[in-house]
Amino acid sequence: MTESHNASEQVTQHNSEIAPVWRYVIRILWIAIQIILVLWIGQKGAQFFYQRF
Amino acid sequence: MAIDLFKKEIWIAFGAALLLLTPIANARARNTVFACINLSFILMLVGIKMFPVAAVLLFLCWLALSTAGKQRGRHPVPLVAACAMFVLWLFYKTPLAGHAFDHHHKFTNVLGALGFSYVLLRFLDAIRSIADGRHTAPNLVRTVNYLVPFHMLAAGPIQAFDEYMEDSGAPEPLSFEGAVRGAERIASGLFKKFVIAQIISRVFLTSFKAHMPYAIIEAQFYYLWLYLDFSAYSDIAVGIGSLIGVATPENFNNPLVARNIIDYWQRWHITLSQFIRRNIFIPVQVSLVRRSDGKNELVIACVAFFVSFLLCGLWHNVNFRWLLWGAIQAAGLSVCYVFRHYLVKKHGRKWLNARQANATLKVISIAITFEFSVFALAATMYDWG
Repeated sequence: MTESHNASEQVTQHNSEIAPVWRYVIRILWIAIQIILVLWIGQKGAQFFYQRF
Repeated sequence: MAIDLFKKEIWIAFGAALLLLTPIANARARNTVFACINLSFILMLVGIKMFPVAAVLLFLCWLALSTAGKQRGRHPVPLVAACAMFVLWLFYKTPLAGHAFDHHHKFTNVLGALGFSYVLLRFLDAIRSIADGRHTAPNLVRTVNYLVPFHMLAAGPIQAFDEYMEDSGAPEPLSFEGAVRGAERIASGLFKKFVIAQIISRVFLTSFKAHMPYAIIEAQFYYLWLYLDFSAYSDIAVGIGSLIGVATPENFNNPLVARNIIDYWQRWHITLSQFIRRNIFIPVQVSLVRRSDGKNELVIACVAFFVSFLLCGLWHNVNFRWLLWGAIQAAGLSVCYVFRHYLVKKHGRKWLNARQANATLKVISIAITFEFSVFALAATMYDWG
């Protein structure tokens, strides 16, 4: 019981350590996606996108 | 807006600031390098031929500020300098005056590149603070950094001079979290401006040439577009400022959910409304209260609203349309102020707070404030002819 409790504590601790890394990866990915969309729609026009409306 | 964010100059200046300012911890050295970057940015924008004009203008601003700082008691220098800047701004903003003296618009282009409307407000804030003895005059380097910070030239924010002078100029080292947050602000600003606002503009806006009833729908989208476009500039400025370690105030705080027009002006273009409060509203109100021996408090507040917002309207553009916009805003603020005063007097503050906590009333008040802002803007922009 104690061993399994310790193990689950360790897993929780491990998760809390790696969670921010994933958060950073997602945040940086979202920054990259926004920049790509800005360059695609903003600068080059992507006329067909507007014509769909 | 004077500066196109797709132009390379702003990103060159940003890159240079990031590379050169990050390793420097000393405040004086940082200020000097930042001033060089700001001047180089202006040089890139106006070209080598017109750069001396911008440099002389900044030098004269510094001269006026330092002369005002050396005077004691009542002295005409701050007033004369403020009037001279105001005349120059009129020259910049009034097409007829500009055309009469500047056929090729070379000088007005320099003023445009400097974001002169914002420079004027920063200068007025500075000279008032110095004349009141709140701060001493800044040196030339700090004057340049206050008046023309490259990332705040396009559309503000208007940093308060007192805050600027109280800032140590030596920020904490940039953390990884801070860097990601700064990059997020820049990316979301660019996304808002060049993707969301761009799509709204292309799909829904007709420059107010459409007839009723579409004009009503367009007005809603125009307001949304303006918010996204304008707040995007502020996001980018705040993001750049946080990455290069230059304090840059926030300019927007969810104005679309403002509950009344007074709340709206605490959320929309915050640095402009704080400037108006500091330099127009409070001085006018205090002066009128003294003359009336504290009577007619409500009338005085309304007069101060009208003086403040008629001037604010004219600052946006010197024409009847923006004067009308200022009058609508002042009327809204006055009605809101008087109504709140009436409710507090009749039912008490507790009753008012309880009503404000009501969810249904909250939604209704947000909708009314939203539509009021849409109406004020549409009345200004609509093609009445």
